[in-house]
Amino acid sequence: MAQTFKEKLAELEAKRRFEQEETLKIDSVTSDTSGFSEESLIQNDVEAAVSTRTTPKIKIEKLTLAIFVSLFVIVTAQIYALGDFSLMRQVSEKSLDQKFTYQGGMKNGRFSGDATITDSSGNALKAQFKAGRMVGPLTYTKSNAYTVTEKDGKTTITLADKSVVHQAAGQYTFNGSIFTYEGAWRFAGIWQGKMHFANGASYEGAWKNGLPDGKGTYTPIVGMPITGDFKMGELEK
Amino acid sequence: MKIKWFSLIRILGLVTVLGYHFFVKSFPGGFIGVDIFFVFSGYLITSLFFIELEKSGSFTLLTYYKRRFIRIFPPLVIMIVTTLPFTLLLPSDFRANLAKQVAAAIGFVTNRFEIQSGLSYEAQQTPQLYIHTWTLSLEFLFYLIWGALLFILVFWLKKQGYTGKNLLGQTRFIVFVLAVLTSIGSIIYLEVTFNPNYLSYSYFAFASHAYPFFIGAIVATVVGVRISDKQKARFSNYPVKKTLLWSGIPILILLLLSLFGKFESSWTIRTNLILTSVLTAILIVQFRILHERTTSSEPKILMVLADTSYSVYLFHWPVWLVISHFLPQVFLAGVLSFIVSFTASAAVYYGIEPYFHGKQSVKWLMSKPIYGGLAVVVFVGLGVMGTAPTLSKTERSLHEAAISEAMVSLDQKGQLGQNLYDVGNNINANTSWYNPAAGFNTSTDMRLKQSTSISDKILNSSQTVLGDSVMVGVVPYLATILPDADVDAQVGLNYDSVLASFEKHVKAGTIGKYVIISAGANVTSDMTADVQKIIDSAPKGTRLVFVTPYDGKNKVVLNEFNTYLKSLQNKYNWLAVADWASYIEPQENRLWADKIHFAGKQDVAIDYLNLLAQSLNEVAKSKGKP
Repeated sequence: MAQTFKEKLAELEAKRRFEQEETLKIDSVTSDTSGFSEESLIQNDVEAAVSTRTTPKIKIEKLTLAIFVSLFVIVTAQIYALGDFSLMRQVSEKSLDQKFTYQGGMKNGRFSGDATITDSSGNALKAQFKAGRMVGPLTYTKSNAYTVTEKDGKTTITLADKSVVHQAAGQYTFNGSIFTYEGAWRFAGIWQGKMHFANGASYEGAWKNGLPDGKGTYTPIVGMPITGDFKMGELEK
Repeated sequence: MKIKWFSLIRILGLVTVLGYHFFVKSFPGGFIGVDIFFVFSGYLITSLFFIELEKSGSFTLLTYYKRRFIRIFPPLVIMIVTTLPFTLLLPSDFRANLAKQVAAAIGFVTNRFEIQSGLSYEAQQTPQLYIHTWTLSLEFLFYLIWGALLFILVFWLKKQGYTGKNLLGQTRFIVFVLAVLTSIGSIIYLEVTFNPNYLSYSYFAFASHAYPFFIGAIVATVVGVRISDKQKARFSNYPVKKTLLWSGIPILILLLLSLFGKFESSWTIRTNLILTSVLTAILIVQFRILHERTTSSEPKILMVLADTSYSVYLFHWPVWLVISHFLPQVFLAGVLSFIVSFTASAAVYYGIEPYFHGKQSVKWLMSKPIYGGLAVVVFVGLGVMGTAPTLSKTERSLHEAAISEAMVSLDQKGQLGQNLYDVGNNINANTSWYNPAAGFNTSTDMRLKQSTSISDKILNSSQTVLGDSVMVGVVPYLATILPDADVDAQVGLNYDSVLASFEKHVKAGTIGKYVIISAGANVTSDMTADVQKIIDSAPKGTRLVFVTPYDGKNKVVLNEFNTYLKSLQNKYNWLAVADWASYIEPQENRLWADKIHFAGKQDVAIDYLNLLAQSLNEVAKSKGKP
């Protein structure tokens, strides 16, 4: 009996379905290797393992394909998560509190490379950044006043008239044409220091409020050094 | 073969971990649950290996890898894809660097990612949504390495001509030796590389945290899931009382550890976690015996909880972060987080996972709406990652505070240099050099400039400020009240390091007469003892001001500490407490999203300084430490 075209098509379709189901069956047998509640599946696991070996059917399963794709995703994700691929770009951004503007490199959202920070009064800080933190020397400039450079724990203060004051470990040193100074220096409180004047006089001892105050020795231009208690620069009698 | 009561081990691990994450105040040591899971994993994997070897006489590595992979990966991806859209409900700080967090989780390298960022304190200040996936990184590596080792071993033994019973016996012996050696090796590595300042390495690195898996493997060589008839006979005569005792004691100790073993204590990582592994090993043996001794099946609820435990673990942390953000009542938030995580996990385990296991054709999963929905969710997830900030505001503000501090400090040095120069010239010009008895003099202007408007008694004395990252944020403004203070404020400082710094200053004689201490946001194990040591070692005449630390996420622990601090005021009249915590608590929304820092927020910093100034004036009235 001759088949009509339709019948032929139906037959082919049925055959295709049958084959598909067969493959699916194999799929489900070989992939029946869940490990979740491992204990309950042990029986299946082992049988499955055995059957995989005894069935030499070479057929790429959907699941195997999915696993290979996933492996690719995993490796890519690893490289992305642990690697550093972002490029440094130059930005000019205001700080969160709007107090200063950062002009310089930015990498991974963090300050990076050379940068200049300028606050609203025009004072500027030049610094080098790595992963958001300052590294290396810093240079701070207060317009029309002074430039402060800090490097390896040593500070150099250059004043408007090019006089240079050095500071390291809390001690200030100044060698000027009118006077020289060596010692601590503070705005308030008491500290120790030596000041020599070009005219030959000098003071060595306690200081307070910018004047000799407390125990100290005054070596005048003429005469013997005087040791005594000073109060606001004056010798107490 | 289903072993009854093993569910209890999974549940024990889950309960302790959830307790730790939801109710950290009650279960500060609950993270040991992770190690319970590790031991159990090592045990099951190795047991399965032996069963396969016994039944089929060999071990197929690929099938093993595939099985493990299907077990771990799909739920992980489902968890990430479904939780990502919800992170939009959280402040942007939670999403800082989100794409990398997600990539680390999917790539099974969260542990290494954490070690990398653990180097920077600033980066630790923002909660990470998928940090809990670090355990998967370890599991993944263990599966990979252990599977390969076992495969090579079987391959080699077969080449030597071993088959059947001989093969099994020989493999069992070598695996035992191997597992013992790797456990010991991992523990030695942990102890040798241990550094209390770098806990995250010891905790997250595979080499130093792989021993629980291998301890589990040791147990599997002795008492596996499948046991010999001889063992069976012996177990069925084992007194139940003894089993109950020997499982009761480990459970009790594990509970005590989760109640008292704080993470920061160096005991925890060096000894407690090893103890946890050993106790879990004992529990596994006891429950294996109990299986032989009991005939009734275990309650269904235990099975369900154990089945879903992996997914619950995956879901609970992001779910908790979202829920607890909106629900300040910790208990309610905890219960709700569990219900949500459990529901999601049950749906994944019973609804979706069977598809990956090929157990049954889950038709509804293949429907167009599901695919469409999936596409939408993935798309939203990608969008969330794409729009996430690369850096949290908290971290940025800490970096900015460091810049402000540097500018203030350099400017101060500049001012002092200028002042020194001006004073020297002024003295030179105003002193009557030929009348030494009159001493030195400066102009009236100069004198006015020199005197400050702040309380002389404090200013004329010396001040030392020791503080953590909170203080770093204040330093730029500190000069307005204490221009000369010696400041040691560093990001990441805790009471241990403050004590060390304090003692160093005391020894060098550089400690100020007024000492301000602001730390504690980085909780350490024995802060009250550190405070007492500071009080005891303070030189005569010292006045101390402590600032109460505030951390909106860790209120309870800090409250305890702050109550202690405040009680000290009554004991020592030369000590005052600036109660920052009580002041800021009702207005914590003025802080950054981490609920600790406020670097760069001038208005908050000024309030902070006002509190400090009040306390300073208070202690100034006393005569200092007698």
